[in-house]
Amino acid sequence: MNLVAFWIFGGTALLALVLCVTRRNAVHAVLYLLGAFLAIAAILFGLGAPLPAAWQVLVYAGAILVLFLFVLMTLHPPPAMKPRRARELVLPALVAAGNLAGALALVLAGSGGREGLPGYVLPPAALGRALFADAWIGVEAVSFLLLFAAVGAFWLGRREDPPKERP
Amino acid sequence: MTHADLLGALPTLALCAGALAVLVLGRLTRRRAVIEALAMLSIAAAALLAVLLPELPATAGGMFSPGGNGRLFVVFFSLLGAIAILASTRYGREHGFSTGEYDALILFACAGMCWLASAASAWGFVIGLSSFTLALYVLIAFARDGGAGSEAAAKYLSMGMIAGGMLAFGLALLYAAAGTLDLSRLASASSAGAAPPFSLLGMALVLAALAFKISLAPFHLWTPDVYQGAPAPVAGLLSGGSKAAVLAGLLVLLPAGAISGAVQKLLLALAALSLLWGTLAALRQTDLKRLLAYSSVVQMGTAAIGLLAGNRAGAQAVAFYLVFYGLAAAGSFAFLAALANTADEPERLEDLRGLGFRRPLVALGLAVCMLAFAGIPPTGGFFAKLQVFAAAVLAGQWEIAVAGVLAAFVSVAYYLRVIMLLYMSDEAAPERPRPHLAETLAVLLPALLLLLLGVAPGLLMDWIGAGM
Amino acid sequence: MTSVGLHHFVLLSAVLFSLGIACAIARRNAVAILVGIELMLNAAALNLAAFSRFGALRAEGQLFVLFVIVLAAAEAVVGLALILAIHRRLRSVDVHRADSLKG
Repeated sequence: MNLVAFWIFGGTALLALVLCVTRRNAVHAVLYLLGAFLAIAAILFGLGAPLPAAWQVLVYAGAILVLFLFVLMTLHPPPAMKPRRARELVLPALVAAGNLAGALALVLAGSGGREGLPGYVLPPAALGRALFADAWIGVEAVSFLLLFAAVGAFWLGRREDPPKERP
Repeated sequence: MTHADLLGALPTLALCAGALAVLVLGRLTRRRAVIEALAMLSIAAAALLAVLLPELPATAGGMFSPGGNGRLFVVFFSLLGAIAILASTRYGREHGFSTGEYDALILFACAGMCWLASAASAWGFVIGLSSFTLALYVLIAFARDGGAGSEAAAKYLSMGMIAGGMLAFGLALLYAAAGTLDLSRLASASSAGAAPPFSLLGMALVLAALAFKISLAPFHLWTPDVYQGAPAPVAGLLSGGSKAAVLAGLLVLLPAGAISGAVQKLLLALAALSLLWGTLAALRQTDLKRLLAYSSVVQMGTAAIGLLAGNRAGAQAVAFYLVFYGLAAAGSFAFLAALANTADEPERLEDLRGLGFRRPLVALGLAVCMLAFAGIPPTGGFFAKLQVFAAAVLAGQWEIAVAGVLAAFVSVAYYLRVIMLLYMSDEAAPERPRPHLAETLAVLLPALLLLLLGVAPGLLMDWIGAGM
Repeated sequence: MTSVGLHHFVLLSAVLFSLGIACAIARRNAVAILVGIELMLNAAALNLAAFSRFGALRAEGQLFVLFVIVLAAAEAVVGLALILAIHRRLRSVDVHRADSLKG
């Protein structure tokens, strides 16, 4: 992945995210987030991770954000994303700045110079083998997790109550 | 996937299969007794499988290690699930939990705790943690009319998910430093000599996220509100099971000797602040649930002392401590569920006045749990605290050990106040429902186990020692 | 220097993470908190892919990326279901307006 491609995708992702975080209208924020996630998918592809990049587009941008849009559409009045008053923004600014400072310290001191093998791509077959041969119980656990997340969502979203218990 | 892997994962899969069966059965029949019986059956099956399975090689597919204390924790979390289900027999009917979802989510939460407690790799850790946290989000908001329930769930959810994001990012940074996702070697990278700066940032993020989950100060602000809003048996699972599971995960994440330097100072600060803030706040509480919340902050601060010790004795002390704490918390909230009627639960301490005479068995169970929390000899609490403080002094951390002992002495005040209220006569107390057999069992079972731990702690210590 | 080193990606994911935390803490609105959380998990996924590419070159890192993406999906499902449940009851999604629990 060469520098120009990184700057293009990185730049679009950051621009889209800064716009997303500052929007007042929730739907606009989610749409900017969609653009940022697609740019990040391109970066993942450049990192030699084709399967995660595909999942990023399919699951993250395709499923999660579309779900966000559905929910936002059903909420009347549409929730205004009004940020809190200025003095309440001090804490998040501090936390974000702290993180950024940590990251800069990280970049300058820690990990410079680790050049990866040029053009290394992890074939999806190897990832598939790792997923289903080595971490099969993780796949089982995650499938139960998704099932019970759906069960929870049905229960929280129910309109009427389940029939009373027969005596 | 070898044969041994499957055997290793069988107990937790039995819990999940039980959860599925309960889910399906819940829609077929309307009688809760059948649903609860099936749930208890699958819990018993999981516990039996964990005990009877032969000794297995360390890692099941590199993700979950059935060896070590994994089997002990499967039995322990199955027991906590059983207590939660027993405590919500009558409570469930009155609050409209009539179909199987409630019991299925409790079973799944227990399976998630077992995964976390026996995690061998970073993704095993995150998957286990996320699964029971998600189950608890839904369980907290489970009550039909529960305005307070869904609001408590919203608070817990927004904070819990921020912690989940920090945990994932922190583990990614640790992966960079250690080069491997194997849980036991992940933390040692941050304390090695030339630790790159991002591993310290990663360790700080991971500790902050886990401090939130076990409500160490200053990350404990959600605890009182969520305990007050959540249904009583769910609060028992939340306070007992979830914190015990995260502590068990921390035992694997921070093996003996893995924390040193800046990380140790951070954990020291968290433990000291928890002891101070929790004790001061608990002294002026008038609501039993909020008192239990702040007391859990102090208890987790004491458990963190065992982690700080960083030697093998400290790890064993923390394992013993989390078993005692889980049982005591489950028993206390089972008491609240047993005496709850549709309108309210006996939350205010004044409501407890005179209950010792009108509901002797259930009140006795609560009294034993309070004695255990306070660390008074006949119960397991005494031995647990003794172990933790001994390990800390052994490792030279005597300042925090002294702070822990002081907090334990002060804690006796607010725990014994509860017991005194129980056995003070009061004619005008509101009428409390008579608990059914299952609910009385849900309170007495942990109380009896706590007494057993107090009388013969060796039984558990050998089992822990074998695994450690 | 045409090829991109590890620190480019780590810096980018750190900025994403900071934006995520700031967005999650700064907003009163529950949907915005969920958006911030999705951002944080995405930053973690990007970081993992970068370290797996430049570090151990084994499938482990990207395996964790897949699990992080699925966990984010599960959290979004439950979070949004809860938001709808609260919205139907309190007519707003301001987490801080629902503060009947106090003390």
